[in-house]
Amino acid sequence: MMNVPSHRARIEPLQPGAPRALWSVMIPTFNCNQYLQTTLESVLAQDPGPAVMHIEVVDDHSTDDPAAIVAALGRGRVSYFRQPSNMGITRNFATCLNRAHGRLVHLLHGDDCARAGFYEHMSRLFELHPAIGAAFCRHVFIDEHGRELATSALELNSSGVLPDALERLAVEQKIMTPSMVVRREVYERLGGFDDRLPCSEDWEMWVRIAAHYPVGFEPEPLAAYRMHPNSNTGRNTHNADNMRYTRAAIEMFKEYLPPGSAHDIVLRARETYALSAVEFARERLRQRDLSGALAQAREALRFRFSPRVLAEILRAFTWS
Amino acid sequence: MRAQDASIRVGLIGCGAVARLYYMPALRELEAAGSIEVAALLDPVAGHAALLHEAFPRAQMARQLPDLPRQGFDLAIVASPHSLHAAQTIELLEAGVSVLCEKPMATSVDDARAMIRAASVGPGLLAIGLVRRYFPATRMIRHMLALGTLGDITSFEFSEGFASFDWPAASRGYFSKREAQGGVLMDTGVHALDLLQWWLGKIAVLEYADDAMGGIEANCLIRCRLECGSTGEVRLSRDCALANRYTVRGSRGWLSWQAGQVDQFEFGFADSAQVVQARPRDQSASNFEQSFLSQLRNVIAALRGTEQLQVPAAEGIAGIELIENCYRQRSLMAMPWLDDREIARGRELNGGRMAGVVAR
Repeated sequence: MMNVPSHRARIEPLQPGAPRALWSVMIPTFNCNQYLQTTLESVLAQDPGPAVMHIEVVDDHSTDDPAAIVAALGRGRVSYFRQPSNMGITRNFATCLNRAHGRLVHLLHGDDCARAGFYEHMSRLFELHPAIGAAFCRHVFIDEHGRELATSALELNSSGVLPDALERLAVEQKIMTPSMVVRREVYERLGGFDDRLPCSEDWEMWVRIAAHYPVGFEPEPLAAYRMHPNSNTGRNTHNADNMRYTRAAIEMFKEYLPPGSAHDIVLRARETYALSAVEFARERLRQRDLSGALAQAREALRFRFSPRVLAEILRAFTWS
Repeated sequence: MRAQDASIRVGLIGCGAVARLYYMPALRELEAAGSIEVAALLDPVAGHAALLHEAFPRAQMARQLPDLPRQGFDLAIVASPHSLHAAQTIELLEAGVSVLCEKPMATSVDDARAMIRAASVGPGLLAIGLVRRYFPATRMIRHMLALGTLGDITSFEFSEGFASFDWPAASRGYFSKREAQGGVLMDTGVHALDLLQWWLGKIAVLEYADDAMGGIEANCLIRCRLECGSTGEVRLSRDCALANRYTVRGSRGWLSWQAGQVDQFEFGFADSAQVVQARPRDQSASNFEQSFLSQLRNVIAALRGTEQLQVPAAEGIAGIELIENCYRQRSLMAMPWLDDREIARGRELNGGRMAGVVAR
């Protein structure tokens, strides 16, 4: 195990020789009962049985009683753990990782879904490429009603090991958590999510993994990431905290990047997110939230003060 | 505070040019919408009030403030000659009436402070009429500057002046030293200095010169410094055609606003010739008249407790402090067309000082 700093959860290794499932599907949830049933159904529809898959809901002290949904739908197949108090996203993730006992860990937020074939395709990827530490598939973005909004980029035409994974994953956050599967031993070695990042904690984690392991890719869109006003992303746009933490994540992971290309990768990442912040500014303006729009524009310039970013800010706020 | 649905009764104190040209259309629109009722019109010249009375026939007319019943209106718009602003505003505030006082809020800092004190002890609000703050263009420029889009501010130049003076002033007081207390600085200068500080923060006056020789100034030049150390100048005139541009330059680019342009400004990049003609997406006003409407709407919303005042008195006083500071260090503008005898007389009338600055 590497020396894990205190701001990252230590994921304790399991007893050697103990019988283990291949999968741990860990479902962190907090006050999202309206989606939890769909999430659980998406996993149970692909359930290979308890010997192969461990399924557990880890409730971050919700007030909307997810235990009732777990009991009704899981009927004993899905275990349930409730935090004694609200821990926040990254600490709840740490609980998920420590409670996982499968060899492959799938963190599936209580408002996201695994689409048909997810576990079969991803299992095969790990079987065919034993050196990979993690693998992700394409994902679709869905709205609160489950309508598909967009599909993530095709990184490779066929299933396999992603070339230049570290550079590709550091330039832009391409992986939504429900599309990612990580070997438990990887978390044991590298530590869990960084608790200094309430947002973008996943991006930093995936880049850290890519800096130490090959990463697999599955071109089928087998995961669904839900966008809604109360999602972690949605909650943090009005004050631009999403962008502030994205900037912090870049600062953190630049030390994992190859020295020869780190500067260029960081510049590209900063330009990408500067333009993304301008898009958030446009969205805040559409919501008639001027202060939120200005906060996003301010973050855009903090990412990168380039003529292109400046011009985009002007275009967002004016008819120019 | 008035109830959300109650119509606010408005008294117009001073029925001169600004009341007729700008407040009257805005008040008519608000009255038609049921938001306000114009209840009183006051002007010492009966004919001035009578002109507005045609638009507001239910309003009571009066020549003096004591002639109006204080319980008769909730909000007074003080649009009288500058020198009357303080006394009238204080009298109204002490009677519990809220006031929107046209700029300049007063002709001295002491008067402005007395107005703020009166507002602080009574139930009425005190707002200052600085209508340019309601232009979408000036608001967006403020946001762009606050975002730091220009980088470090390196200089600024504000100029405003026309070869022919065409403001249809209703009284001679506009040009009287005793009544107006100042010329172009006390008039256009209030807007210019307000925008300067609203956009760029507090400024210090380094040098001030004007062409007044016993009367009021038609031209003035202010050299000033920002807190960051960068310097710039403000040049104003009532009889000289100037560029009529407010330009701010920074390490990354520049902004330029055509004085009076409600919904447009220019943005240029330091390292390219590209100039963007920018029109704010905020479409709250597309002309001067609509900006007066926006100003009144804000004051009414503040009276109803649904919005904060956009220009409270505490912000209006900043410009008065600067103007007082300018007049305190006044020197005579260099005017090369004067002969030695005229210059000597000019010095004599201006307290003996003659600046090196030249009127352009």
